[in-house]
Amino acid sequence: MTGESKPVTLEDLQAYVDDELVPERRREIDLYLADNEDDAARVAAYRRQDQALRVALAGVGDEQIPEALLVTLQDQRPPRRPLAWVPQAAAALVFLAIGGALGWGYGQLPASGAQEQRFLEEALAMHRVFGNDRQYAVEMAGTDGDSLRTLLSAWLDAPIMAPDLKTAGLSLVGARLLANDHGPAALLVYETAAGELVTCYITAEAKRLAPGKVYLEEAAAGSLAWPTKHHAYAITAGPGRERLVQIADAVNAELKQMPGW
Amino acid sequence: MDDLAGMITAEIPALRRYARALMRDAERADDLVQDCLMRAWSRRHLWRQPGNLRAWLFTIMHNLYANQMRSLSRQPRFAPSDAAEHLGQSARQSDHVETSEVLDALHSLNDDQRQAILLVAVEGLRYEEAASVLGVPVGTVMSRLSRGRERLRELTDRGDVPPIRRVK
Repeated sequence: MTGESKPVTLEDLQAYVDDELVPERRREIDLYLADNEDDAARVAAYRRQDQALRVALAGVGDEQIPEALLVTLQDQRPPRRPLAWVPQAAAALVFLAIGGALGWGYGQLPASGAQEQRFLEEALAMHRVFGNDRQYAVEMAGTDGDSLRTLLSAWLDAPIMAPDLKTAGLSLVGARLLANDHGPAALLVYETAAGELVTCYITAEAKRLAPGKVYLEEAAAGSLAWPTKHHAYAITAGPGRERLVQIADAVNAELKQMPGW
Repeated sequence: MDDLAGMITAEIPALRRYARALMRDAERADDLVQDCLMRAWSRRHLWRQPGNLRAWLFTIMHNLYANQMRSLSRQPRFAPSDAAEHLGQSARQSDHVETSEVLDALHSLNDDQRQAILLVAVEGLRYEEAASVLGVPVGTVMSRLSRGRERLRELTDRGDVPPIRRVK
């Protein structure tokens, strides 16, 4: 701890987690946490809890809004209750469409988010380890496409290749074989023109993920996961969901071109 | 005004999520949201753009909820569930912080702490917004968050790492 700064309270740690500190105080807490394992663990635990709560509650935001709630926003209101009350369909449908389009916040995570959460955490962990240093990121260079494809397909037990993501501004660096609790996994490593590494984590566990894309973000990285026919995919890079969605769409477009898909 | 209906509709998923997390009973939670929407709609002339619509709606719902809890507290039938018992069960079932477990833990907090955590950590309200929704000073929101998050940590954080044995 630096001598001249104010003592760090539990309230400071809340404000740190919730990004409510002025930049100067934030820097002080950064320094403080670097030297204080217990409070750093405390902050990490707060973040885990918050994320677990968001995942646990995400399903509610995804549900269809009951018509009985929507009709309360009409000038000519029908008598209230019960909730299962049959709506004036047309008006309700219009509101449903609006509600669906504007579904807010964490709605992209499904109700049974625990599996997705863990998969995304794995992808983020791999990115932390291998997504920083180009030199150690891969064990097979991307230049030898055929042997890369053979090895990955054998390892993950289904036809697989490193998709060409030039349309998304990414060039292939290479790949490495990995494993997780459930079995084989692989990491494809791409690079942007600016030299940022973007990783694609793949396991043979398509069933671990519900259909659709899920996104998880931590301080330095975001990860977007989705299932394909045979595999579970996660694209991980610096935070920013929209870019990852674009990359994921490029991956899917490439996979569709693949023979035997 | 149709536009306002659309804007309110866009907030319904968040209102339902908050109500469900508070009450844990989907039907009663939607009843609360319905009451909130009816009140908001009948008083919509009181809301002026560009105001913070979400904070306004959450404030209405919070006041309705507080009234409801006050009247329930006069009836003895509403006993809080024993969180320690739930936790014991999930702990045996899994090594990880499961979603139901974190909700069990959340429900062992008192209402004040639970509301502060839900508004800030789940719904993403700024401290000032949460303070105005709950009708308390910002400092109170922060101390509720502190105590609530610490309690959650005691209840759920076993660390995801299995215990290791040190070998000399």
